[in-house]
Amino acid sequence: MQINIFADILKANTESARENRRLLAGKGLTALNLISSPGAGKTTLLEETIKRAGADISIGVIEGDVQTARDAERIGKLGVPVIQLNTQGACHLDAAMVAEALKELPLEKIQLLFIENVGNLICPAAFELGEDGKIVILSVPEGSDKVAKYPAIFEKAEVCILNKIDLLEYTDFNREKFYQDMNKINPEITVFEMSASTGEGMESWICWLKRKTQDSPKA
Amino acid sequence: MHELAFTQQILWQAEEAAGAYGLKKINEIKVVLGELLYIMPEALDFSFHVLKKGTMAEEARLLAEYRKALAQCDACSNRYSWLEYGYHCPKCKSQETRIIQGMEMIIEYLEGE
Repeated sequence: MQINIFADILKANTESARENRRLLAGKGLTALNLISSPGAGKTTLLEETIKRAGADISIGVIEGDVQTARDAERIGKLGVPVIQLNTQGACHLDAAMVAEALKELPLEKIQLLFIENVGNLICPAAFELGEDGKIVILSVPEGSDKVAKYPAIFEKAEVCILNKIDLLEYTDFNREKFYQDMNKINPEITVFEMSASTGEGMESWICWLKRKTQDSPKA
Repeated sequence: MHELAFTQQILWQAEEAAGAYGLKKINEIKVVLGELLYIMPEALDFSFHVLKKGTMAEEARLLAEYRKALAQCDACSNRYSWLEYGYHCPKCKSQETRIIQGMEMIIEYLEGE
């Protein structure tokens, strides 16, 4: 006997992501899903963002890592609410994990929620978490060919942060090729060139975040 | 290795559907996967082999159909490889294009008794 199903394989995740989105929208929160390779600078970017925007926007963080609570400890030192999720080997966060973390966070007090995904450019692209937008971070030493190699995540992202721009002169990163590839697969993406560790180029990112959170009813 | 998570979802949904129709055993599950999901066929087969043990699909085959990423130009109706040209139509250079194939993640059917 054949049974036709024709259902989304990730139906359970999609439904759970929808619940998260409803909950977050109801509380007037803006949620951003941060995605990059390991070592592109997600946690440093978060630390510097909190230092610069924390006075104007109340920020909360969900940290996703395969193991350890090191990133959450770094963020916790800055005095913002943070929940560490350990995926125990899984290469991405899913919506159900985020739903658990949301129960622990003081959502009434948060305007902007960063969800730092597991370092990986492939798997996180397939799993919606209920976020308002995906931010993909590419660091200069990784090379300009990452956009062409992993197009799905760059296609889905609202913003690309080109991080570690201070290292441009020490690498063979081809900026022109980077913009060419990006324009091909996502002509509408907003790119911020910056160095989270030197602070160069951070202002326009912070301005973008302020504008983004102003759209939410809590601001 | 998101193949593991995908396979788990495939098995759960297949068992649920089979249960709803009163089946005792699943012989075959057919899925359609788009190229933009970056599923590795070997990793999917391995995950299925490991995870099906102890389920109704213990002896089942997983049939996976992989679909290339294709875009279509709204200006000239040209269909082309999205991975190669992105949103720029190679024929008429228009950017009024969209992805029409390559994002699929569908359980199509199961066969059982």
